[in-house]
This record gives sequence, C-alpha cells and structure tokens, in this order.
Amino acid sequence: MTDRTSRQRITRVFWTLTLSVVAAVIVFALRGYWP
Amino acid sequence: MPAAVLFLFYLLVVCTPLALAALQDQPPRGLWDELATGAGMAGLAILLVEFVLSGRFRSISGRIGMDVTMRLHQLLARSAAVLIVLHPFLYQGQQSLDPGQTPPDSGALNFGFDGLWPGIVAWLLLGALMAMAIGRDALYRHEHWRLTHGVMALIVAALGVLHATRAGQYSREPVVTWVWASLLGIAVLSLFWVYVIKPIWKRAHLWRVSRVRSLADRTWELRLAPEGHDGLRYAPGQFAWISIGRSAFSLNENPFSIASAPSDGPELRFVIKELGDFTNHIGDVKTGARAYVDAPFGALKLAGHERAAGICLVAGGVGIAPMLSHLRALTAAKDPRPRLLIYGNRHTGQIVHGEELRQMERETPFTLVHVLSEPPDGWTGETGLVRRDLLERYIDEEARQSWVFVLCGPPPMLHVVETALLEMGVLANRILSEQFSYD
Repeated sequence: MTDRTSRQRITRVFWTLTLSVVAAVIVFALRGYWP
Repeated sequence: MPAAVLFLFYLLVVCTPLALAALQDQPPRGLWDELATGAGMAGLAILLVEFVLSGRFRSISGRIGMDVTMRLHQLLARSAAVLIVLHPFLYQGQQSLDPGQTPPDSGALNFGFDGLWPGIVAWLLLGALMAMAIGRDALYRHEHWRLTHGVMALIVAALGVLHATRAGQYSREPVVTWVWASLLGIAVLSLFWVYVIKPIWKRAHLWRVSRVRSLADRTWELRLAPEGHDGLRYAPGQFAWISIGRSAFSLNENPFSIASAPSDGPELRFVIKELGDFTNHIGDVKTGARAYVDAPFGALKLAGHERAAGICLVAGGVGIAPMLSHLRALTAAKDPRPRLLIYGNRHTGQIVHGEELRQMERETPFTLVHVLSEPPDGWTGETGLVRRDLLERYIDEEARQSWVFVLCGPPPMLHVVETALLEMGVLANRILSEQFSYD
C-alpha cells in the first residue's frame, strides 16, 4: 500500500497485529468444535 | 530484515504459547473457558514482548523508526491490557473442588490460591501501570517515570508468568513453561541491557562538552567531543540519547537529532530548543562537562535512496537538525543531486545556521525556502504554514516522481506535509519522516 501516511501505516500495522492475535485466540478456543 | 518480516516474527512469538497449548493432548474445555485462557496467554505474551519494543534496541527501531516503535509499544500495550482485563471475566466453567489438583481431562478450573494470587496482583498492578502511563507527562519527572514503568512492568510480567504456570492448565506443561520462562528471561535481559550493560559501556566511552552557544531564540548548539575513543559511527539523520553532568547510570536522558555529518569529524553537533526540564538549562552547561551518548538511533536515513534524482527536505523549527546533517553530508560528498529545503519557523529569530545555508545555496545545487508564520515587515519570502499549495509551487512533476522526501518537525506539520505529498502523487516509500514526540 503506497497511499497512506505514516500515522495511518502505524495504525494499520497495529490493527493487523492485534486482529491476528485475536483471531489466533478465537481459533484456539474453537479448536474443539470442528471434526 | 525488512519491517514486514519483523512484524511476522512478532506474531510468531506472541502466538507460540497458544500454538503449543493447542498442540497438547488435552481435550478442550468450554468455549468461554478456552477464550479466557487464550486471551490471558495472548495478553501475557504481548506484555512480555513489550520490553524489546521499548525503543532502545537499534535492530528494531533502526528498521521501523523510533516513532513507529514507540507508537506500537503504546498501542500494543492497550491490546494486552484489554485481553488481560477480559481474561478473568470470561471463565464460566466449574471450579475445581480440589484446588491445585485439576486433572487435565476434568474440564474444571484451578482456582487454588497459590495460582490465583499472582494473577490478581498482576491484574491490579497492570491497571496502575496503564494509569501511570497515560498520566506520565503531568505526574512524573521523566527519570522517575522510566524507572517506575520498567520495574512495575517487570513485576507484572513476572507475576503473570507465575500465575500462568501455577494456575494454567496448558502453561504447566514443561514446553509452555519453558517458553514463558524464556520470554520473561528476554524481558529481564532487555532491562539489564538498557540499565546496566549500556551505562557501563557509556562510562567507558566518555564525551565532553566542547562548546555551547546560542544559535537563535531559545535555541542552542551543543557540541560533544569524544574522550579517549574514536567517537560514533552514525548516518546523517540519526539521533542520540544524551545525558550531561550526571552518572552514566542516570535515567535522565534526552533524545536529540545529530546535526553534524560523519565527515565533519568525531565531534557531534546538536541543535537544541528549550522545551523542557533539561533543555531549559542547556545554556548553563559548562564546556568540559561530562556527557554520555547512547546512539545512533532513528531511521531518517537516505541509505537505500541513492538512486533518487533529488532530495527534498521539509523541516519545522528544531526539526532542522537532521536536515543540517544531511545537507552537510551531501555537501562534503560533493553529491551532484539537487536538493530543496523548505524550512518553517514562526519568525526570523528562530532560524538557525542561516549563513551556512546561504553559503550552501551559493556553492551547491541547493534551493532554500524559508517559510515564516509571523513574518516581519518587508519580508519577501514565503509566509504562513507549510501547506500543499506551497509544496506544489516548489516541487515539480518530475521531482514528485523521482525525488526522496525527508520530513522532520512537530506532528501536525508532518501530518499536513505527508498528506499533501501523497495527494501530489509522491510514493509513500519515498517519504521518510520522524516526529519528535510520540503521542
């Protein structure tokens, strides 16, 4: 992505990292629910 | 290592305890209990990695920038806090009737006091830590803040690991315990590195104040000379943490951009504006005073932009310091590329090194544009703030496509200039910026 300011890029990196961790937590919690 | 690889590595480290827990041969408990455990483990892992995101590790801040490192440190701490605050409230399962003896296949929770108390204390201390972090500028002197923040964070992390390994069903497995211990060990080592090893190194690499002089309104030049060593290897545009007249172990350090170029010799020059506790007294510093330097830091470097056809520097106030470093280095290297400096100040009394800049303009392919928001009578230069219309007048289409842009100044100015450059078609990877406050 080349059209973002540095502040927007920091925010994007932050949300990418945080949502990835949250996704990992959800996958961890749901792992008993799939075959 | 590119920044993207660094971020992937971060995710890998933070998710490792979760992955090792998932791989254990234990039947999962109820959804909410597993969410609670997952949130606690992820929150603790984020918290432990925060120690190496403290900004004092060049392998990280040198790649992604000091302001990015510090901002991510602050933001990710909030993610850790949310996960850890939620952690105890998500549990819904049945309490173990026999504290500490929860069998792996029972599905019950271990509420034994041995495991619970470190978690409760860590949870409460984390709240205090966050409150102190938010109110730090109003409540604390910088050095007190650094000490209490580091020590409290370490106590929270250690208690968190103790809680996880005593109360956690998954963290009691040796491999997960080992991961927690390793992360805690790295956190302890990072503090040891910053507060013990680095000061010892700094004491062996002493600097002396060689000159302090007034440059402009409330703005000073500080020069430091190495004593008994060769000085510092740095790139133009980088900055240093400096303490003067204090112990090498003092926590009272201030960050200043280096204004000299490596080609100027071992002496370091800084442009310092009176902005706070230490800087307000910079004029009282005596020649010969002992100084300690922790450097170089920062990613405002032109390395990797050797093929840029020209260099546009945009500085606001004391943000001129790294630009002087770049201009002096380019002049010394007889770099043939055109450069443009757009230099914003409130009034003429704030302009520093005006004569040197004019000389560069006469002798090198350099264009200097002063912008004053409070111009004196008869001022014929640019007025107002550095905005898009001004940038468009000085940066032609060819420069927008092929030059590199270096920005340093107060955050509002940087935001306006960066946004304008992007709207003018400059690619983000050609814009280097570093703001000198992190919030």
